[in-house]
Amino acid sequence: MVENARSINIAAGILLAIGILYIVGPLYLTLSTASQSYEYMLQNGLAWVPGTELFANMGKVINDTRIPIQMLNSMIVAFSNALATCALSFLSAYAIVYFRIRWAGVVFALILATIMLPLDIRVITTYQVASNIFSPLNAVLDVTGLNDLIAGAFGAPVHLELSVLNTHFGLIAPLVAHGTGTFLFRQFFMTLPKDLFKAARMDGAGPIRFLFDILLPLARPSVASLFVLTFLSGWTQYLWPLVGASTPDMQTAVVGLARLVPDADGQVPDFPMIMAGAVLVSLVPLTMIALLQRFLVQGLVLSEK
Amino acid sequence: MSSESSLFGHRWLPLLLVAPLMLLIVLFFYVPVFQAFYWSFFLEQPFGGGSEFVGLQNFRRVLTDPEFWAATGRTVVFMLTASSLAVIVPLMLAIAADRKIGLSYAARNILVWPKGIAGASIGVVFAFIFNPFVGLMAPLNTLFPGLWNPGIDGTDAFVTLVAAHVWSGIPFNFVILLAGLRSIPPTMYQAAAMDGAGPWRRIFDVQLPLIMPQLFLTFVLEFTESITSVFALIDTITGGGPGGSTSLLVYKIYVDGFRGFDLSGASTQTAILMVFVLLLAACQFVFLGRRLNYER
Amino acid sequence: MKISTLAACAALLGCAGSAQATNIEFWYGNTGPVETAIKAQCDAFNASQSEHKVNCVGQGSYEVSMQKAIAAYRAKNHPVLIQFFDAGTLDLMLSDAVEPVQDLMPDVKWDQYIAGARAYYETSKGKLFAQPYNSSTLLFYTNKTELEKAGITQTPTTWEEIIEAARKLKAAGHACPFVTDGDTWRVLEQFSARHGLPIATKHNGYDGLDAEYVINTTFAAKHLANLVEWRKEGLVRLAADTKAGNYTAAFNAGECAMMEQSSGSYAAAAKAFDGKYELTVNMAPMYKGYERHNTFVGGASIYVMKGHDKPEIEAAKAFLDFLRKPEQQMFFTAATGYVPVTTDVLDTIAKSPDAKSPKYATAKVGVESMNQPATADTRGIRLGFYVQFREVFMEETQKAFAGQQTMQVALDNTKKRGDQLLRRFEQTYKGKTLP
Repeated sequence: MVENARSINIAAGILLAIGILYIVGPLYLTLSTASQSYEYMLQNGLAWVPGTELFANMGKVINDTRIPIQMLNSMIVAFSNALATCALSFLSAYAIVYFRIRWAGVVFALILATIMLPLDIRVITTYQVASNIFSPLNAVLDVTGLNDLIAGAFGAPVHLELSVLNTHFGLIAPLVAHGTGTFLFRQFFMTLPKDLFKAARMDGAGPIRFLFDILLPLARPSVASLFVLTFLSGWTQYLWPLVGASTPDMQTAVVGLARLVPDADGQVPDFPMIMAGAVLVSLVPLTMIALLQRFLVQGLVLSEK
Repeated sequence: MSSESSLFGHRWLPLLLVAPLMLLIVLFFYVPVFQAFYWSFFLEQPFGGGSEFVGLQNFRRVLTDPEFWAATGRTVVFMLTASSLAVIVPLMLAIAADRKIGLSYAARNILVWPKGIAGASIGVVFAFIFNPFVGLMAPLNTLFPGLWNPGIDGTDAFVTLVAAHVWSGIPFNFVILLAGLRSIPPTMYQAAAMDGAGPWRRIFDVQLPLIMPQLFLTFVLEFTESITSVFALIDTITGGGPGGSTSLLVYKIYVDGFRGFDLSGASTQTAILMVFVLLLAACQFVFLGRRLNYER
Repeated sequence: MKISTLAACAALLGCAGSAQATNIEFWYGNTGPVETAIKAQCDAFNASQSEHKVNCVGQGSYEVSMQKAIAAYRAKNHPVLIQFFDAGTLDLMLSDAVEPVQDLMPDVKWDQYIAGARAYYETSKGKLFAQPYNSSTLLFYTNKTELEKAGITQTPTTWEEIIEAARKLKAAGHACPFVTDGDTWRVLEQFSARHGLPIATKHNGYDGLDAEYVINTTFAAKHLANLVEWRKEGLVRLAADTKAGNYTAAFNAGECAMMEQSSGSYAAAAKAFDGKYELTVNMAPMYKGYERHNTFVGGASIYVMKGHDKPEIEAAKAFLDFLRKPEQQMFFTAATGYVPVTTDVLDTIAKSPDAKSPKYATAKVGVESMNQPATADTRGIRLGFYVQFREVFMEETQKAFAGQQTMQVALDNTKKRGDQLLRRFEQTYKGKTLP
């Protein structure tokens, strides 16, 4: 079928060009400003043409700021978040789908509900819990009157304290407490043929062998997609690391970058250096996207099912 | 899954499998959610010296506070403008990229990039690009002084936020909508072509109706998303200013709670915001049935 | 492995009872050069003796530090020493979480602290709650070179003279004669104090939690309205109007000719001006016909938190003693531009050969400014949820500067919203009285 699609193709081309410009433009300006000197920026402002100072500016970021160690923190947070989310959600989805348990529906609903109220909304009280993760236990003991009994028997009520603020665990755990992964794996398990399970049972495979020998290899692409998604989400988190970590050496790179803009130390901010910092901080996730785009796109589409 | 033989029968193993995630979820999701509602009925001294049960007084105060409503209003305006743009722009791009033209391949690749760039990073960049004296608008500002200044004019600041939000939101919505477009069977186009519908016409007759589910989905997700993800942008671009013109609810809660040490007020607003978001999610559930899912 | 563990145990046992270094934590909020100076003091303290060891932990900002302290106190793992900023004073006093330094160390000559610095951190009855640490106050900076270029030979001392100078500067083509950021501390608190104006009833809350804001009725309201008019006229600029986007940077770069800023900014300005412009620093300007009163102390002070054992408290005392030493205060002043606030240090500086050195330049004028005659309304600010009030003030006045409402409406709104905060604070601390 031949038809005249020229006008629409031209329009589409123009639209895409504008779209690409919109995405690439800020990235280009970041890079070109990052490659100019502070003095150039003071005189000319935004740099339209790249200069030669990119590595000098990056050197300043690496030597004069805490961004390197903060990038290490980001790496730890993003990687652990991805790993823990993949592992824990895989296991819980497995339990929900493949076991005869009456409470499967309830548990799934409880896990799924987390999707509706993102961490950013409940940050005030999540912070309180993180400042003492035993506080719920203490409260339960107090309210149920158990503590009075204990105090009567042992002379003092139980009051446990453990703050996870300003620790890697504290930065990661609230991010893992999220239902997307479980949801994604459950969807995936549902699409697998039932004969698979029956055949495995006939071969005498128990739950552990079935999990490792059959499900895991099949789920590899889904795991990879979820891993990429949660890694990126961990890397780009802002509000939680902002409040969850207070010392510069524990903060993540994104927070550190935002803190590079000084509040009031009487100088025009060194934008070339800050932009070089933005480039550095975005390097890891962008490389990841470039290499694993297939999984990212698949993950985004999967999560929509 | 209902057939008995298709399930394992162990009792403790599944419990063990679910336990780690459930423990984290209870600790860092249900307890904080509960505590936010709990504190909203108390006046809590910051240092824990004592708290007084005040019933609904916190809610009464917040709900009669014009500032709360102003922040809510701004949140809704942002939700409507930024979210609409963050869906419509990727929609147009997806329709364009669905055509087999030279740029589509490049576009499919490049338009995903923002997914890797943190809201705060792009916030720092946009703050610089839209700086009235050294940024993009600087030449215009020298011609017409005072034309553009996000540090003084709230509307300018708001526009900057929207531009940054749309930028960040393109990948997810683009990928979803493009996937929707690509799953339209070719026969649908052929049938429409037989009826004499040209390629422009088919956008409205075939493509839009058939990707309605995806379109609706992106809208609803975008609504929730715009409420929370905007925090990083506000904190790095405007700091809620000028004159509170970009202080959206999520930012106001942060400021009240973490800078003002007003735990009860912040908790009450958190509780109200939660109810609001849950209502949104309920709409989502009602309209989309079981297609419920995912922030990004 | 095992052997070393055993050895450690043995060492611990052996040491028990004898002089074992007590570790305590000190949380502070500053960053940049101030943080460097604080760390240097900690290191010096730890090197000076072996009995105590203080571990200084930077928290990134005053607010974060306070927020963390609140969470830590609730979870009972709070530090012994913590630095809090001026606006948090009342929250701390009512918290029951801190031990007043004057109770803890009754033998210290607290009256060596100049009245202007004491009043802010002491109870209504005069008991000092915290040890003043990094203290600053508001000063008036000019770029003498630029002023002279526009034909202004006499440094302005009153607002009337500033505006006259600003008109001359503008006529000479200067784009930014006077710059401010409209910050609450600068344009409201310090202005009210030195003009002897109350910010709230009950002497700014010193006489009770039931105070109410009066900022919309005092002369401060007139001044703020003037600022709006002067900005329209192009005589006064706000931070966002400047090319630098930051008013101190704009002044330091020579873009703006005059500014009101904390004494803590002196070092940076002097460095930036070096060889290019001549800098003057004086007491903040008055309106003609008003008698000059003291300016408030700004910055932060150190509190001792409750719930620690005796050795820890002893360590805390030792560290506070160390920080009070004249040579330490002088080091801190020279390194940061903060003002020393005890008379013995001021005497030591006056007698030292460096007395005229620029590193002590703000000490003299800053202390002079804080030592002006005081009234019951210029002791300090004792108002609840004051951090939030500052935000409210900024929000409303920014709207006025942007032309969305008049300054009077902005201040009326600020008062209304501020009073609501005060009432809620009063209710939150029901049953407690001001110490």
